[in-house]
Amino acid sequence: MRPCEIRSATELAKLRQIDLTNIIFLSVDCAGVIPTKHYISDPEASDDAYAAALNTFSIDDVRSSCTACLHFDLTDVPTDLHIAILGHTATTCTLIPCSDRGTRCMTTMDMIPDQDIQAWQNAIEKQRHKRKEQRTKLFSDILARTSGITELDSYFVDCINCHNCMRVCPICYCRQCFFDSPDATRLESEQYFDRAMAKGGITLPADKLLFHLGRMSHMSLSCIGCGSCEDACAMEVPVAQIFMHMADRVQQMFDYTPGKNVDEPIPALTYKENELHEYEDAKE
Amino acid sequence: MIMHIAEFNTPPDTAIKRIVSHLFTTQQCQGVIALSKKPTGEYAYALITDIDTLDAIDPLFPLMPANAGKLISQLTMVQPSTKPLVAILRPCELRALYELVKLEQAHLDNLLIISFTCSGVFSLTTKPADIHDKLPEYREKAKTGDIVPGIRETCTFCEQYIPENADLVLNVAAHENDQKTILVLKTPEGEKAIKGLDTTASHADLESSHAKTILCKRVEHKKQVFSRSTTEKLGWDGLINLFGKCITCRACSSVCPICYCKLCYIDSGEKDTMPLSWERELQGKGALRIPSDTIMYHLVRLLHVGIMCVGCGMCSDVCPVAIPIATIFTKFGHRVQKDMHYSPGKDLTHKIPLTEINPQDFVETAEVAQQV
Repeated sequence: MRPCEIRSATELAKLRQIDLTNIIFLSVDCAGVIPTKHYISDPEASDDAYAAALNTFSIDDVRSSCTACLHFDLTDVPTDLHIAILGHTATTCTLIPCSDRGTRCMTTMDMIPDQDIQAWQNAIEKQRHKRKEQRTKLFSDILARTSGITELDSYFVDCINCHNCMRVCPICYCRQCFFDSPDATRLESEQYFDRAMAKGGITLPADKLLFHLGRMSHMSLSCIGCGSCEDACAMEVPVAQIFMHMADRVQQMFDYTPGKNVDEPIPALTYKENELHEYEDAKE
Repeated sequence: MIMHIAEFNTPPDTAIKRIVSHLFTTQQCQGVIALSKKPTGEYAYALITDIDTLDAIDPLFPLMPANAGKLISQLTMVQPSTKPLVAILRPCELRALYELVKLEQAHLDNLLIISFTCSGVFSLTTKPADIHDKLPEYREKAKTGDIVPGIRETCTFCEQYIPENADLVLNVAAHENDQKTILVLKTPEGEKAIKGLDTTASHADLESSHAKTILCKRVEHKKQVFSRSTTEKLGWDGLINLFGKCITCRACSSVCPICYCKLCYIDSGEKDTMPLSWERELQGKGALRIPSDTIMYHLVRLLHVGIMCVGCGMCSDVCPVAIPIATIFTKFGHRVQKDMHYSPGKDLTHKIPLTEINPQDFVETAEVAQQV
């Protein structure tokens, strides 16, 4: 799988949605993926674009989330066996064992790990530098576009509340989202009138922004930035970009890297008496 | 049935605003649900309760961000509207609302419905600014019944563009004079609603020869679209190719006004694949596409909603992988609706087939089955 897929599988294992027994992860340096809509509208051009991306690791045609991804190689990816292709020619690759399981796989195949992976590491560093630059650019752009409630509202203005982003999100594993549940949807007509009368009118479906902010608070600690949400959005709302930015901030706050280690618990599931005091102090 | 007709000396969008404003000032309503223009220029449905905000409504703007029948269901399912409310709906939204009432998902109490002859809506991803540019062409072609490039495929062959059940119907599509608006008062509530407004009596009819020309063009186009869409001849391989693109996002079901289940059967625990059944399938085939059952999902949904499908086209519009779901569903829908003598959204007293047993229903189906 791609590194972001292995990381989401690891998060899902923590959330008890996957049993990792008997699963061997095989990963590969990821050049990113072409947006599905591009594939649908022009398969041939997309094939060419992907071949080019694989060849040069150019970030011109891949998902916005891929352009800013820093986990495209082995970084924080709990894989068993990794296929290194960066810094290689089109017909060569290097297998890197990353766990006992991976080493056993190679032994079974009578293969000895290559000790010299310097060329690969250099290529990775170069690529990381490029994506870091893009990440900084993307995040400052997102920050500017979402700096207040009016800006947030217009960021999500095209949303039609189809909940595609939630459906395809690997972390959103609930069978029934709170926002689709009777608690959130079976409201009395009087409640809609009250809210409309308070400001002269409300748009329908109501609570579109609340859905996105709610989903964000539920899953951003575990968001691995795969970009599936944006890819599936019928209205081309840049969902993944704002979620990645938010994820970056909260994950730093909790010093947590989702999908890195299956034994590291999700912060929301642990209680530490001594944490986040800086926010309490700031409040005072 | 009352069919009084009034004529306004203003274009339709002004006429609608005058009517709603009149309803507010005469205390006949305290809220309106209609497609509205946000201050930022985007369009969304809104529940507006303030007469000073009424100018935002733009119900004739050819865009459908949601099937409003579904929105009214959200508003009135638990409790019928507590205040007199006006809803301005396109004919397919009204049909969806009627089906939802039958499914006990909506109430019509306290609701005055205004509808209009509909010339279709543009695809959802069309930017409002681009739609504004296309409006003159849209209005010109609405008069002749010609197809406007960029509108939803289902709209191009919709035969039910004249609403049946509204209290008030504006004749927009088949009316030649842009500066006048013909208003059909279909119910006593509709009559009462416009009492006191400055109108003149008229003899124009919704079923004019003009309207018939438009209908003929739509019927002709439907034949073309349906004959192009040879879904029934696809066979398994064709079905796999068609629905194999599906990424199982379920957008088609979440925007469908008829798919009202809170939790679709397909997403329920009932349908979870157990490791044993995976193994069994894999033994037979050697490989399995995951997520699996994409064809199953679409066929099951087709079975569940086909008979009630109102052909609004929301499903195709939101599909991120461009599967022509609406065309397939309307084609199938037309066929089963014909076989079952059922016209969704036409009459509240017509029970949804399969909710009552009528042995007669199945005679023709059995004959068809024998022919096949």
